[in-house]
Amino acid sequence: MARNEALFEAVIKGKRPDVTAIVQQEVDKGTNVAEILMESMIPAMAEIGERFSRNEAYVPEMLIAARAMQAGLDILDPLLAAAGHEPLGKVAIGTVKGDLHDIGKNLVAMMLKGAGFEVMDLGVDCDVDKYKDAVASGAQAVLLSALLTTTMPYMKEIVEGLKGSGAKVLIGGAPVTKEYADGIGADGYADDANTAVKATKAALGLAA
Amino acid sequence: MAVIINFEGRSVAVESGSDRSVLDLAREAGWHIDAKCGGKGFCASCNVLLGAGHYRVFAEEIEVLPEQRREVLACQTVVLSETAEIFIPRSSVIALDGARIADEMEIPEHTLNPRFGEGFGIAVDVGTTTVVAALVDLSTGKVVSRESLYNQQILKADDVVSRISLCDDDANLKILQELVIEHTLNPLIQKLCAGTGTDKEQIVQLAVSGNTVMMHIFFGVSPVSIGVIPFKPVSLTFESIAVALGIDVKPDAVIAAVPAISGYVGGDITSDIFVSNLWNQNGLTVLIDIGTNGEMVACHAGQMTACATAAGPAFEGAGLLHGARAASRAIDTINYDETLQFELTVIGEPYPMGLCGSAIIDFIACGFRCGLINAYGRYDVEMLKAQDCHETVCGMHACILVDTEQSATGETITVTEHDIAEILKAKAAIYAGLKTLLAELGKTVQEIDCIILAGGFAKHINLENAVTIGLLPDIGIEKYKVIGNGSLAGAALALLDQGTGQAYLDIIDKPKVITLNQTAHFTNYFQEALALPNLDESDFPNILSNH
Repeated sequence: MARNEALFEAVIKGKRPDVTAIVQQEVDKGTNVAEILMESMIPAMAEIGERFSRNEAYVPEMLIAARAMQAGLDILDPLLAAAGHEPLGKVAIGTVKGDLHDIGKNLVAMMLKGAGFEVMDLGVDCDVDKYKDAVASGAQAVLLSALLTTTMPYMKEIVEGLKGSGAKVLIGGAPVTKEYADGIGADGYADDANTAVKATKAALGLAA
Repeated sequence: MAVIINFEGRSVAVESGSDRSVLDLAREAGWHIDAKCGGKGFCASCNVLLGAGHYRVFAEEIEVLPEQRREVLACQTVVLSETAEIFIPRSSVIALDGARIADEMEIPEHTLNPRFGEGFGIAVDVGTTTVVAALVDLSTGKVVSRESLYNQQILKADDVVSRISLCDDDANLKILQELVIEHTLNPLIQKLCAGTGTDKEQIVQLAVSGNTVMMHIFFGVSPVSIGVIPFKPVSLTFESIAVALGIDVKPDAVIAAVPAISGYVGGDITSDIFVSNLWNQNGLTVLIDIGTNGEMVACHAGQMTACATAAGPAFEGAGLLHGARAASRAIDTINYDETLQFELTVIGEPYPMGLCGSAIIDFIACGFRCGLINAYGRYDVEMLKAQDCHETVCGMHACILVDTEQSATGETITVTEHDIAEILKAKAAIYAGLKTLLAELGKTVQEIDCIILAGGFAKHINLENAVTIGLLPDIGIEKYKVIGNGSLAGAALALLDQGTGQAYLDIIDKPKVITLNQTAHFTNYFQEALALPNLDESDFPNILSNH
């Protein structure tokens, strides 16, 4: 199967009912579920991510597309697991201790899923132990988010707490800068959701 | 070292000290440069042009030659050379004149039973952006005069979260307190007294109402705990005397705050609830205060739920390329159809410099109706080009509203697709908050019997347009009621009837405060609300049937 143009467009346009219908149709037809994901849906999310980076799409559209993507994944996920499909990698993401902001974090989580990662969403107000547990259950990279200058310093504790675990640590959020990321010894930094996907792939040595 | 600072043809020389930012120097020269992010270098509201000199911008040292100009962020720039020259564009200066502030209030019927039977009292609404004060004659119960000013804390930071961040440092807390009392409230008191021939020694009592963070800073208490989980304020109630806070009235005058409900649902909402008699309304009633934080309370059969939404200051123009506060030179209404002939009104002056929140709502609503803007907030670029209204700004499509000749800045005034996206996020936060609040009561938007809109912004928006963009529910305009500045009315009532003090304390325990993103539905409602008017089409039957 080559790209299913209707599905590709439906994800980009964020048409959730269409995505559900087309994915179900393909599944019923017996199309290889990994192909549905890899040939049409992941390229669609990659395309909207690129448009975002080029200032041709904005956060609302990206969130709407990600929501449609999720509807498709809800159907595909159990089938993919049953078929033994391997995700691109396993990552964990969470907003750090003391901080409850999660709109940006959720968008990054959805873009990572859209890129083919298995994503453990740890939620908000996450302490070091939560990230450690995630690494213990197989996360190869953890992504930390903070929106407040008052909660950002906790990122340093997490980076230190995960030293020697082998997991890569990437950070982001409104007050976070590249300089801060380098200063605390994080493995990667991103200032938007599309860059976050690229930075995660780079940190894990995966092809862009 | 002398630094020459130029603005609108005037030059002022100031001494540059070590490590003082250009932002500070400009303020010393007397110009209030906007620093929406609190001078942290996250936004571009403090853009200035550097003339000849040697500077450090962020970490980099740069040399600007005499014939050159270089655009930088004032907050992140330090002068290193002996002499230097800086040019401030008008768009970076806060217009402190001509602010359109809603000081109209309706005080409900009450008994005249003041704590002090003689003299005067002052009721104050301390908003994040504006402060309104009313002089009340305690013997007659009459409101004698009203005055308003921007909360001078906007010079340091725009929104509540930035101000909390600043208070990490005690010195900044002190500065913010001085900005709201010495530089905002005292001048207001001065004006009220001068205008009415009142002796400030006759002012024996003040009642203040505002969000919880504003009240903490006003009384000199750090609001930092409100910024982190579990968002606990130091106190819900505050009381002090004038001399302790530096308020320029009778030294032992009593100052009390209207009690708050929680860290993010403040005394201003307690006031709104009391003034609108919310818990005695029949059916399902919702109170919405669209400010920098959109707070709302839903009430049904005596049960109340409340929340605050992080709408942010987009409706006050922050984060928009040509956004402006609702003050002199701001476009405040817009109307147009598919011919893209824009009919604009401007506050105070003939030539605009930007557009304020009410105008951007109009712009998006009209654009959606005539097909210029699609459901995702994107332009029909061909339509823009056909009407000669297209411009590209930093790679983004933009619609030209005002050409260079008609604009006060000498540059076109435009709305970019990024601006529209910012408004979509803000309106989605409010609408999703409302929907979540109702879900907690087992209700839907279509079951709402009445919506009470409080606060200054609601007075000036076109309700039909606000419904068209999906900011407010599509339930028929007749179900909306606008009450004006309920926060100020609540403060005035606290002066006029000492019984309200107890009534306020009874109110603050009633609402169940909900943390939106810890509910099951908020994220989904938010995503749905990002489109125009909403992806859940059943919520907007009238808008979509006309579309």
